[in-house]
Amino acid sequence: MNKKHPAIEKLEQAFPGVVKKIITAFGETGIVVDKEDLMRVCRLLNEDKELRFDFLSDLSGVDYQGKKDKRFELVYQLYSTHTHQRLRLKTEVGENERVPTMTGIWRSADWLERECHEMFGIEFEVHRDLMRLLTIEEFDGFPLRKDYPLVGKAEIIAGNEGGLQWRKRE
Amino acid sequence: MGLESHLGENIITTTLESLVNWSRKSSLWPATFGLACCALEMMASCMPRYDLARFGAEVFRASPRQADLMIVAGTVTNKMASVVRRIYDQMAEPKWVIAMGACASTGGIFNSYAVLQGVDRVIPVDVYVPGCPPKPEGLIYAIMQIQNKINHEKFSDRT
Amino acid sequence: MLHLGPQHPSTHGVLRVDLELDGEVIVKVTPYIGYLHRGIEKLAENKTYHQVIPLTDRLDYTSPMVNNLGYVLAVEKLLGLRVPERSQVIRVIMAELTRIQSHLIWMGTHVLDIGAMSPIMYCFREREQILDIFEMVAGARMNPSYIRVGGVNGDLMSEARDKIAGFTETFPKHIKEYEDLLTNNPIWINRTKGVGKITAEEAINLGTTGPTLRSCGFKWDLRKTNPYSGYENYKFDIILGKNGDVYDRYQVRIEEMKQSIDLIKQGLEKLKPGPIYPDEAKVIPPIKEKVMADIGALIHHFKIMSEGFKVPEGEVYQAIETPRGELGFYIVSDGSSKPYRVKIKTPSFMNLMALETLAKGRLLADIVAIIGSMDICLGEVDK
Repeated sequence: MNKKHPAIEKLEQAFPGVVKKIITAFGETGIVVDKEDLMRVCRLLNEDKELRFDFLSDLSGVDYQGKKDKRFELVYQLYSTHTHQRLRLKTEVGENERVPTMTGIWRSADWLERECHEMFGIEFEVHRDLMRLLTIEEFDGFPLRKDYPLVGKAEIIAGNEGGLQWRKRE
Repeated sequence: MGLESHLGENIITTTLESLVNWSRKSSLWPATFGLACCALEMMASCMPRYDLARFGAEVFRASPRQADLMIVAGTVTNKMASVVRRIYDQMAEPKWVIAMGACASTGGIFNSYAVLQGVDRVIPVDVYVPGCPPKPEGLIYAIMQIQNKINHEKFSDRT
Repeated sequence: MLHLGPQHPSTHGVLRVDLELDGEVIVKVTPYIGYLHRGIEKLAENKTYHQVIPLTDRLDYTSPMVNNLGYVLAVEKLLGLRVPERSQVIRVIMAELTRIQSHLIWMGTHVLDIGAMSPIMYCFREREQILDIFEMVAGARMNPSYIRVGGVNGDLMSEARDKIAGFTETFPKHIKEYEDLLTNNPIWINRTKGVGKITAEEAINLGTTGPTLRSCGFKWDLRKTNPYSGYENYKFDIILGKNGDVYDRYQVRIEEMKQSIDLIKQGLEKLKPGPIYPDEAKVIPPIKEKVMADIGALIHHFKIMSEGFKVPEGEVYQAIETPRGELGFYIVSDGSSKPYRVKIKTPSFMNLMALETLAKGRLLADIVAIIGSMDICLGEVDK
C-alpha cells in the first residue's frame, strides 16, 4: 500500500531527513534513525497529540556480528493505546557506543534496558542503575552475543557444605 | 503352645527397627521446593483428586527444619544451586530427596549456560521421577518407592 | 530490612524481594529475579522453528496453549500461511479454556496466601476437568505443544467436543460458589479493598497490561483492538474495574472467566467440518498414513523434521492477550531454517516493575496480597 504511516509524515515534517530507512513488510512498519536523533524522535512520538505512542511494548537488541558495519541494533516496539497502531523504531549501535536511556519518557524501559545491557553489553546513559537482573553475580561475558557459546564457559560439578565447585569448559 | 499362648491377644511384638521405619515412612513431611512447571503438578497431587495426604504427607512444611522430605520440582539454575544446597543442609537427619521431572534429574531440555544439569550434582538424590512434567500418579509412585526404601533401612546405615 | 527469600511458601515461584521497612510500613521494595533464568532465547537460536514450540510452552507454565499461539502466529506471518477456519476456531477454544485454567490457579493460590484454605481445593477440582480435556485432545495435561505452525496437532474429536460442552454447562455454578464465598465476605473485603492502588496513567507508563491494567478502568484488550485468529467474529465484553486495587483485580478475573465460557460456547457453534492444515507442502509434514505408504512423502517428512522448513528473510512482532497481559514475540529471520533472534516480551516481566509503585506506603502484611494480585509467573519473568 502506498499510504504512509502517519508517524513518518509527522517526523519528516518536524525533523526533515531524520528517517534514514523505511521498512514495510508483513503488514508492519519500521523506521531506522540515528543514535543521536533517538531522544527527540521518541519524545515527539510520545507527546504528539495525534500519534500518542504512549506504550513501549518491547526493547530488544540484535547482534549482527559480521553482517553489518555496526555490530548491534536496538529495536523499540511502540504502541499507541488510543489509535491501536504499532511502529518499530530501530537504531544501529557500534560495539563500545553508548545509547541515551528512554526511562524519562517510558518508565517501562527500566528493566528492559537492564536486560539488554546484561545480555549484549550495550551501555545506556544516565540509567539509574544498570545492575544485573537475570544471571548470577560471578557471570563473565554477555550471553546473547553470537560469539558466546550456548553451553556457557563454566559449569557446576559438585556441592558440599562449604559451597559449590565450578569447572571451566573448553 | 509355646511363647505365643502366654502373650495372649493384646500384645504385639516387633523389632525396634521396623517400628521406627514404619513411623518414619508413614509421616513423611515434604518441604515446599516448587521451582517451575513441576510445582503445579506437585500442587495438583495434594488436591482432592490425587490426595497425597493419605500417604502421610499431611502438611507441606515451609520451614526446612521441620521437614524430612525435599521434593525438588522444576529447573534448578546456577543461581538457585547454592540455595538448594543451603536448604538441604538445614534439614535435620533423617532426610530424603526426590528429583521430580526431567529438569531436576538431568537438566531436561535446557542444555544452556544457566541451567544446572541435574540437581544430583549438588545434593544426593534418592528417587528420580521422569516426565515433563510427570503426572501426579508418577509423584505418588515415587513417594511409595521412598517408603519402600525406608522400610528396608537399618540403623547401621545412618550412624 | 527484610528479605522475602527465594524459598518461601507464598511467593509464586522463586522470587526474592528485599523490603525496607519503617516499623511496619514499607518504604522501598526491590525485587530480585533470575532464579529461573534458563536461557530460552539463546536456545531458540540453535533449534529449528518447529523445535522452538516446546520451549515456548514452558515460559508461562500456568497457561501453556496460549504461549504456543503467540509464537506460531508470528512464524505464520513470516511465512504468509493462511490457517484454515477449523483450526482457528479450535485455537480460540483452547485459548479460552487456558484462560479459565490460569485464573483458577491464580484464585486458588492468591486466596491461600491471604488465608482462606478451602477455595484452592475447589479451584483445583475444576482445573482437573480442564486438564482432562487437554489430555483427551492433545495427549498431555501440561505443556502439550498442541498448537503448531499452520494448524493444530490433531483434530477435535466428537468425544472431546461433548466433554467441552458438558464443562460449559457445569462450570457457571462453580463460579457462583466462589463468588458466594468471597465477594461479600467482610474479611476478604478488609484485606483487599484499597490495597495496592495504581492509576491508569502510571500503569501504562510502567508497561502494565492485562487484568492488572483493566482493573484501573483502562479499556484495552488485544483480542478486541488488534484481533488475531478470528477473534473479530466473536461477541464479548471487555471487563473493567474502577479503583485499581486488589479487590477490583479479583472482580475482573472472575468476570473474565464468565466471558470465556461464553466465548467457548460461541466457538463450539462455529465449529464446522474441514481440514486443519493448509495445503502448504513445503511447511506442513504429510499425514502419517501417507508417510508409511509412499516414499515421496517419507522423504518429505524427513526433510521437514530434520532440517526444518526455510522461512523468508524479515522480522515480525506479534502480540496476543494471555491471561496475564500482552505476550509479544519479535522474530528476526535470516532466510535459514533456524531463527536468527527470538525476543520474547512477557507480561509478568513488565507487571513486576510496577511492584514498587503498588506497595509503597502499605503495611507489611499487604505485600503478599499485592504480589498475588499481580498474577506473576516466574517462568515468564526469567525466561
